[in-house]
Amino acid sequence: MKRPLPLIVGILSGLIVLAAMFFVPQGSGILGVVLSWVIIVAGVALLVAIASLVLTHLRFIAKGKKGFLLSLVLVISFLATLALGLLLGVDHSTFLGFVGAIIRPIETALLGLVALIMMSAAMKIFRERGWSALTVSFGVSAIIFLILGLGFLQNLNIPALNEVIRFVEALPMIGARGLLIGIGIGLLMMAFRVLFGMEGSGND
Amino acid sequence: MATRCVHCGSDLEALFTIFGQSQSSDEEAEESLPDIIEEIRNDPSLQTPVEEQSSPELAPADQIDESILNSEQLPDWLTKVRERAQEEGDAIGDLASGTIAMDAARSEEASAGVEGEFNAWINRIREKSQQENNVRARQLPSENEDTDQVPEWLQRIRALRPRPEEEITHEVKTAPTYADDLPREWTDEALDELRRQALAEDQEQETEALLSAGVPTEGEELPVEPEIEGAGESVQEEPGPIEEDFHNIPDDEEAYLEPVPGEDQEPFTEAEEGSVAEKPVEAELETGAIEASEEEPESRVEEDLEQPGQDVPELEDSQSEEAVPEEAPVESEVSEPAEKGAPESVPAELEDEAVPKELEAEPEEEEQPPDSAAVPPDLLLLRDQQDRASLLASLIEQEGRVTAGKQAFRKPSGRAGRLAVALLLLIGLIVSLLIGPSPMPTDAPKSMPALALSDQTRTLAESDQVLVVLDYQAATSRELEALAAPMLEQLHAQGVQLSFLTTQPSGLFLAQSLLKQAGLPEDTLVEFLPGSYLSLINWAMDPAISATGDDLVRLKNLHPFRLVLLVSDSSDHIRGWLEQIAPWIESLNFAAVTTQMEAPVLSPYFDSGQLVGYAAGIADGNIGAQSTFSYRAYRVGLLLMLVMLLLGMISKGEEDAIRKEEERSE
Repeated sequence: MKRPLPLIVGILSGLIVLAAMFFVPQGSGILGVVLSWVIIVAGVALLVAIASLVLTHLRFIAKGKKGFLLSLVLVISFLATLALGLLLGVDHSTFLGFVGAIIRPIETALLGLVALIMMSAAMKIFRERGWSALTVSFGVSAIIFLILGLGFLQNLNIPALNEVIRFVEALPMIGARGLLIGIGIGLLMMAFRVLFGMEGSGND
Repeated sequence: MATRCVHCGSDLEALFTIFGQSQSSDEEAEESLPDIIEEIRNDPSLQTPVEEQSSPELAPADQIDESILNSEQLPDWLTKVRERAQEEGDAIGDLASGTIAMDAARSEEASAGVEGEFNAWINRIREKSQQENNVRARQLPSENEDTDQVPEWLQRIRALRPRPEEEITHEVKTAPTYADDLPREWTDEALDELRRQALAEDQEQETEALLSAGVPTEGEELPVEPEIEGAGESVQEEPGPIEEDFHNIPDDEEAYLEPVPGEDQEPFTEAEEGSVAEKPVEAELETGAIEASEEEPESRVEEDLEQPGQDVPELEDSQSEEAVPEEAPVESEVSEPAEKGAPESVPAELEDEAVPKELEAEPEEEEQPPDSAAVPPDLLLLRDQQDRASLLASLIEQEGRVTAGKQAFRKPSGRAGRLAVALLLLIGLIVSLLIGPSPMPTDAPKSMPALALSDQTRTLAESDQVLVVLDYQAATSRELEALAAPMLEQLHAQGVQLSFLTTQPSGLFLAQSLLKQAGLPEDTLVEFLPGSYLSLINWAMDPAISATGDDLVRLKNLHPFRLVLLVSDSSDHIRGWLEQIAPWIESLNFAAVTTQMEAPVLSPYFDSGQLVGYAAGIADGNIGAQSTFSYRAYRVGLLLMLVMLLLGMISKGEEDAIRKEEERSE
């Protein structure tokens, strides 16, 4: 049996925001308060997530589990960053330079691995999935757009070819439209489910 | 009188204690049955257990009666009752006694103790005898008879029949012939005998099919169990083959093979429609009885009806008491000429039925491979059975041997392939970078959204305010900063007032890099906007009402701004701005700088006018003109991706071709 309180809170919140969107003069103040609550709760949730992460890794270190050294590095890094931020301030250029110097190359390298993984996946996709409509269409479209991305065809400066290229490059917009329509309908259905209390996540 | 419990075998004599009765007689009665069993077991000369089977059942009762009769302490009335019971026989009735015997046989499983053990011993002896008969049947003993005159099927039947001098003859009690020629008593032994005869006949028929190609199908000839309700057709067919393979046909049977008038066949037909279980034995008994009455005394009947082993003696013994008083009427009825003709028709019908069945079996035998003619049908195996048998033999052979355990098949992890791809990519990029700088051609055409964006930025005046929202991660900072920095530099050069917002904590240090690349002062304020556009919704709706003193962000009112430039690597965030903020402020234009990956999702918004323009990818900005950018490395990376994709397709096609060839070869 669903718990009634989360269900009621979810339904009321949705109805209030919806009403405030329609009745702007009367509802904008309430909407501002509600949205502020949302932002504050999201921030608190982020803090809880960070605390949970640190505690988990501290437990790993205390129990000496396999890979506890990595947990130790994480906890030390977190504490050092926290200490520097508290001491210097988040707007301090030194602090920002220190953080940027570590985060930027790490995330850039991870994004480069994505390219490597995609390359190996492109090689194995047909062996794994076989010849199907999905894989064949993916392969053909990928080949076409990779060739277009090389720029060789554009450099030929043939008007008819340019028209064809422009038409081909506009094709993804068709798919994007369908995707966005689907997303919109899905969000609408989700909103209805929340407003009518049919959403299962209201049990939490 | 039963003195033991039929279920558990416990002694119930105490319940039947009679005042004045001596205990010695009870003890004698208790000990009679076990003693008898022991005697039977220890008797080495006892070949067939039929005698002992019936004797234990009868002896205890007789001994008990004797002991009771001999007792001088019994009351007179009791003595008279018991004497009368012995003389007059059982009051239950002949029909019910047979039923009771059958029920007792069925409940044999529940009875433990001496009776069960005895019966098990009897069964073992019977099985052994049956096996000996089977072996004897397969040996195909040579007959001295002239094969030209005697059919092969008869030879086979006679082969199953043991020599008379080797077997013990037993008195055969013929069944009483009633109006419908059906016996009225069926004991357990008779039913078992019938079952064994049917099995023996099946084997005979199988061997006969190989020799004479005249064996009917197994389904037609299988004798029906006494409990099974047979079909009418099977019932009608049964008497034929069973009578045909009846092993006690004398050597000079030809004298009996006379044509039978049609009217004489009616009683036999009516008999066929009767009980299925009674038919084979009935036929046997009829034949045996008729032969005895016509030519030979009972001793000849014994020889003809004797089964290999102890089956016939069992039948005899079980029916000894009940058949004795009925032998006279049986013989008298048999002597009638009408009934003589009916049994006489049996041999004729036997031969007639054998011939068509031989003919029916011929096409079946023709279908069989030539080798099967030399092999009994019960030894023929299907290929599937042969494979299974060979597998079983191999398993048995390997039993006990130490063999290596089955190793789990390890699927290739793919690390080597991934490493090769990574090395290929790295080597290609490094080589292309080492060759030298390769800027992008300046005449490379831009996309329409990028052209629209550049036109929009060019129309901005000096006093116009532009809000720059930084909403990207460090991973995509290189691409976005390379696109956004020249644009900001251009706007700054035009005198446009720029305001910066970041929606993510990492935007604080990323903004510094962007400002530095754009040539803007480092002390430019970059404000953190918690919750992204959610903080601005009510301000966008009605900034006048939403203005309060406790604001999270100093910058609230978006109406003064001319353009909002969204620098984001997430199309969802850009859509959020366009769907939540843009509808409330119609005079505010939105533009975007995003990665090439998110560009297709934003194209519908540009097409609908919600975005005045957006820049995505290296071709839409001035990245190509930057010295840090290597157009050659970019192209090499694309080429490698294209090559890997084609290699995957080619390898898959090759793998499918190889598999098809292997399947064809198999």
